Amino acid sequence: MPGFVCLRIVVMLCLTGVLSAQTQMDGSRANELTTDFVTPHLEWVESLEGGKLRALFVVSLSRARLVIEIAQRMPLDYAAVTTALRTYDLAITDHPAYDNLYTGTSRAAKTQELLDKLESEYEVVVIAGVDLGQLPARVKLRILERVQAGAGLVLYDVRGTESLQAIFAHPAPAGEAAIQALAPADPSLRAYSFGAGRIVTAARMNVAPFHYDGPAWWARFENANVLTMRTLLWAGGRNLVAEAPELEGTSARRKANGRLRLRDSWNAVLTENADPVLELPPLPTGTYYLDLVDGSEPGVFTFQVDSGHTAEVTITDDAIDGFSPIRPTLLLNAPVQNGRATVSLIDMPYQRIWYQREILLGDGLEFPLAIEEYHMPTLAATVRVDVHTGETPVASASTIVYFPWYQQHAPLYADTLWEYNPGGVDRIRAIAEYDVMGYSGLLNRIDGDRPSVQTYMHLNLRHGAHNFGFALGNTGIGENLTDEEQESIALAKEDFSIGNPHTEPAIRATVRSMIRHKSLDRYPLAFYGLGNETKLPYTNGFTEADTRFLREMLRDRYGDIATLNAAWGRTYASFDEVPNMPMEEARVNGMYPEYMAHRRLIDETVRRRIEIISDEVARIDPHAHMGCDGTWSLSNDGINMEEILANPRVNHWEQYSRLPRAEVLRSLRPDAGGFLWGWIMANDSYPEAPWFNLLIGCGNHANWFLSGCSIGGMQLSADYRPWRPRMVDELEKLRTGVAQLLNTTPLRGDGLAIWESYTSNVAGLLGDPRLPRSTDTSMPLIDYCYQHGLTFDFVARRGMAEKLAGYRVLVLPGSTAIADDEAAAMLAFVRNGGTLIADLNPGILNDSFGLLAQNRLHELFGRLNSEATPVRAPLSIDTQLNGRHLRLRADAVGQVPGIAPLRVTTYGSGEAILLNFTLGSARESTDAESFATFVGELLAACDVAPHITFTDLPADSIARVRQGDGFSLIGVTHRRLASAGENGDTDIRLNLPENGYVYAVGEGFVASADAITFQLSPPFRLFSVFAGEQSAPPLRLSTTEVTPGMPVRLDLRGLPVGRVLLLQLRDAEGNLVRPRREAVQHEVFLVGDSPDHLVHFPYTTRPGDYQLTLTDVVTGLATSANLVVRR
Amino acid sequence: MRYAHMLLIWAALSLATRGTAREFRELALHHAVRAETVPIIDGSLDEACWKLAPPFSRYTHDAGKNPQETHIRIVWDDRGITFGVINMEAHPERIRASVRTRDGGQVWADDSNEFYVDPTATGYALYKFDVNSIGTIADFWQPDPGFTDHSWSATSARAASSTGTDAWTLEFFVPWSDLGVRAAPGDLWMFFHRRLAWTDADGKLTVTSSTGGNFMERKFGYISFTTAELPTPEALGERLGSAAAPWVVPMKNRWLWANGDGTPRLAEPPAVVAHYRELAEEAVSAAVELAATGTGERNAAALAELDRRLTVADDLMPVDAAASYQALIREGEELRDEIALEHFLTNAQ
Repeated sequence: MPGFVCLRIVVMLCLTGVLSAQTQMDGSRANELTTDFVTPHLEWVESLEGGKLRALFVVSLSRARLVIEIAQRMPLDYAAVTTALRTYDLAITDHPAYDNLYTGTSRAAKTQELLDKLESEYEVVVIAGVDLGQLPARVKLRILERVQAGAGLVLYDVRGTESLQAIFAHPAPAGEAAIQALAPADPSLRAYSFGAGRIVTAARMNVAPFHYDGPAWWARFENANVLTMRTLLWAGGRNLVAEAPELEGTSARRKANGRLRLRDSWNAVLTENADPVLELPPLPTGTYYLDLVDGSEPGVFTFQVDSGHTAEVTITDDAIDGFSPIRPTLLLNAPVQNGRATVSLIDMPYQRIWYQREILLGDGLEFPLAIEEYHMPTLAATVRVDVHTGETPVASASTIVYFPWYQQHAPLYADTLWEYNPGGVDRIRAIAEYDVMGYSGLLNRIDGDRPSVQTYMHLNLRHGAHNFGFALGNTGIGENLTDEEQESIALAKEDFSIGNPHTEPAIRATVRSMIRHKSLDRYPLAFYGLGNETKLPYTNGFTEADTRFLREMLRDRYGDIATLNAAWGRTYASFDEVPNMPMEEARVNGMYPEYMAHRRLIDETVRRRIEIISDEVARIDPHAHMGCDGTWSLSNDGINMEEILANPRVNHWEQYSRLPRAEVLRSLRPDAGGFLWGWIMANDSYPEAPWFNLLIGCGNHANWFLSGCSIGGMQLSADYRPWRPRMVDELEKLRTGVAQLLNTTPLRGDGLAIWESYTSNVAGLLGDPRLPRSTDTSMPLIDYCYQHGLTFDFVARRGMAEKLAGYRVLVLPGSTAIADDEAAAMLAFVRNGGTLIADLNPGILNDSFGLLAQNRLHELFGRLNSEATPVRAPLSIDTQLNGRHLRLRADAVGQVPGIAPLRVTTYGSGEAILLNFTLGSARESTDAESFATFVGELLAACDVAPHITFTDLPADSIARVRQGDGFSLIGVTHRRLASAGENGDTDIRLNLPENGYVYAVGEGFVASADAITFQLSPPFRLFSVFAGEQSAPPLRLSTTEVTPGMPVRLDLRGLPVGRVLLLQLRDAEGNLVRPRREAVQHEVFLVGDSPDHLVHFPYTTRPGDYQLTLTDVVTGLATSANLVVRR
Repeated sequence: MRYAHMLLIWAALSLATRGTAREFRELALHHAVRAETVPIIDGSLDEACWKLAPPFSRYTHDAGKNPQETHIRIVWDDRGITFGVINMEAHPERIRASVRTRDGGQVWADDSNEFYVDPTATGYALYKFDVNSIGTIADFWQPDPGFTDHSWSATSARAASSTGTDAWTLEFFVPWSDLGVRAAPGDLWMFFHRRLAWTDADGKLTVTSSTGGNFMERKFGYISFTTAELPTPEALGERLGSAAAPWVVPMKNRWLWANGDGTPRLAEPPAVVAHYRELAEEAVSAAVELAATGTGERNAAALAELDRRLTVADDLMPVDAAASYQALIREGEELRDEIALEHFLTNAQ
């Protein structure tokens, strides 16, 4: 019988053809090159004799864009097999069980793709950035058979050729000469013949410089592409026979078919024609290129011109302070008769001219120049001087200047990319990633050989440093340490305790060294991220110096040993007897004060290190923006954030933190900006992280990087919009006003505060059931507030008494360890009319973790039995409080026996409410609706209620209400929907307290009503509500007839100060013409004190019709005007 | 009649074993049984529902040593899914338990259990939970391989444990609301369970994994959601038809298995193993024949190694033997290609 069953199933399943269909993600974007994104390039060959060159590229993702660059310049019938990004592997992703997560990216799939494509007849196979050892023998054999039969093979940066030495037996020096006859030389290039085919090897696919180093880069990149084209043509069996043009006086004679084109070293085309002779214009001294265009082969002939005059532009200090005058010097080798010079200031990398003046030259050789009253929107620029005698150019020179001041004046919102490492097609990538996508900068480390700040300034990218840490003797910086500094580091390395007197000098020396290494004193960073690597494990801290430092801390804190003993419940004879104990040992033995003492030692060490680093940076760069990481991953709930943020030099915080730490950060330092660090996302998700952090007010800048296995996003298309279908438009909305509006509109105050207590947070980590975790109550409360649009703030010890005056309710979550002065502030708060709500066992410890005989705040909460352990028991509350009905029933809630579940005490003008349970414990054992009703009624009884309400808002939504000047701002998001890239499809009703004019931010009018209905589609919605109807902002311009070089004045009078405006200029085709990441003048700005706003037009502005649009972001209402730019 | 059966089976096997490059693997199959009585999360598996859930005990050691004896049962109800794990432990006094804060540290550095739960059964969208021996939970959500959301938390998940003289027991509940999806009878989720122990004499980590592999390779098994009545092998075969083949689920006297074409079959283990061996022999022989037309010590050594592994595989347990033969088929073909390339290069000179 079993055999029969077996047979039946085999036959049945074979016949029905049940298919294996392990789900895979779409990998096509990694496997296909696209020419959709056209980058700047010159034309070289329109048609080839013999037709398009048929080429098969096997190319790593990091080099794939170069294939498109070639295809833009010559007729190419190409196919490509893409391989791993940088690892020389054939497979892009590797996943043995499922034949890879992305279709077509595994080794097996790539092998099959190669074998399939090798069935076609290609003239040349180009392999770049691959280890031949990764190619299966069958593939190698197939390729070599093709070559032996007459195809070409080009190997760029290919490893693993040792086993194939037989194919390099016949060098072909004539081939090397032919390839390089009309192209820049590549010393690594070698040519061979193999059977009827040809082989070329070279170190790199493109010999242009990696880093964009100035305007001459473009010409080098063009020339490098000519070398690649000629290499492919020769290997593909096309003969390269063209001869170099002959220069005869002021003309060039073509010796091949096609036409000649003359370029200068800035890649500007000066003249071209198809005649046999090209008349050259008068040329100043310099390097020039004669291009062979549209002939049988592309070629470039390099030559020099010497007019007898040379020029040099020097500048004493190339780091320009703000908009101060630029004072370069023009140096000539000889006087220029009837001389004049044109001085231009040209931005980088766009090469727009923003300043142009002509000066007359006298007889001298040295001419001080002054560039004043200029507008320059980028971080770096070129000062160019063209020298003429009469009308004849004789010399040209330039120098680069930097505007580091811009680095430190970030826009209202900046979103940046993580760790942008300029690669082989650096400028090309920059265009795609930054200009097109609109990013403001990048985050990168600065140690070792990483690019300098200037490298990024050339590309107009603000550079922020990640982990500007203090690893002693950090790589790459040792060479600029003095002997004294090296000695202090060596001594500190032996014991890096903050108690070691050598540690502080060592940290300071390291900081100075890092700054010198990257010249940050001249070209400062946009911000210094001190990084989460500053953390210390709590298992550290047991050197002799540590113990000494601990005892000094205790002496400072307690003054004498008797006071310590009283606080700790101990009988130590002296401070020297106080042990420096491992925390786990102390915890297990119930020695909580000793546990806390060591914890304070480590936390103080971290705080002190940050203080030293920030102080040393500020000595060198007084304007430095320094950020401190919000949370330390291993001590998320217990870090002494308050003390670290008390450092005034920490003026932004960096958080990739969990809740509630992010909200604590926001509350403790509302003056500081927040930076969302290291946000990554799934391929199809919405930008959930910036949405969430901007909405709740915890991060007003965002930094992100790509995700998706090892697949690089940009190299294929140089445009990763297809990779992030749900992200691009939404990020654009954020950066064109929405983020800035959120950043400048304060949260509405609802009178609710939550106490942030370092000591109580740590107590909650002890695992003692009498000491609940603060998050057991704070997180359910935060979840409730998010769901109901209720604002709350955390309040901590510093300035507590004054701050509490702004709140009606203070919640004490797991607040078991309370100091004397804190208790006094709380008592005063209640006495003056506030309400205090506490959960289990408030104040049973002092802030040294000594168990108190009489708990703090017993006046409010009665005497608590600190020895009693909470037990799970049914909970039942059914009572009235201040006219509200509080009702809660739950199955098994942790409670201290003998204490009522809810107890209310009147004290002075206020009330104290003791919940004999944590909100988390209650939430776990009752239904969500009952729990929410209880919390809502409890808060309402304390006069805390949301300003607006929602009907049918999905669970886990987050709503925030802000109060602007004359408007409310109501935002809703849903993290889970956003992360999953999904939209809400149910109607949500937003109920307003009264009738108002409702606008969708950035979009326009919605309704005049006391309620609106919307869906979470996309799962981030932002509405503004005004009492009266709003109108579009007036667009009052000084002129609509624009002269390049002259600004147009926009009159802002009458607009409310602080209003967020978006000003966009479009050309006749509707394209935005202003690069959106300009450093100084952003398209989004606030109405300030100035009555007007200047719209600048560079001298290089193309004449024609333009449209200027001014949008009032909060309403989405806009006004447009037409402008005409005349030459 | 018996001969006819064999022919049909053989034909099906031959069809099924062609053209696969994937790794043959044993699927860990867990049955999650609907609980009529909701378990109380107290670290004790004493409710009636636990008796209905069949235990899964086929574990491997990541480093090839003997795994630690571990048994997992899974039940589900209207509120969520609950895992019950009995971690047999000879030295309960050595159990590490230091992390006490939710998401507060390296839970894996304690004696702990890891649960990888993929309701989408795609193999790349998963929730991961680490739970240590005192019930501290750390978790994350990974909607795709490049994005791990550590800020995500199953806020209503609960865990409790108890430690006895020879084992520690973990009871871990995750509500549907945290997973954003509710399972129903007939559903198949991908799942992987791993136990991390630090109780050996040297205090070194011992990793015990459910069969199939570890997290990095994500050779996950499955949870099959059922009522109290377990599905028939045929029904299971239909459900598992979407799993990336080749795979095998060992059952009593038979294998539920699928080769490269993904068609689930029931067969007796010897027939499957013998078929793989024949194909492996053919692949090795083809390489030997080609090598005979040329020379080369490297080839000789490589061929001898393949031959040796054929013999070694003969002594393995059936699942491992079939996997070894399958690997030899691929390697034999690759070696044949290498030899062909060598001959080409020699002749080219």
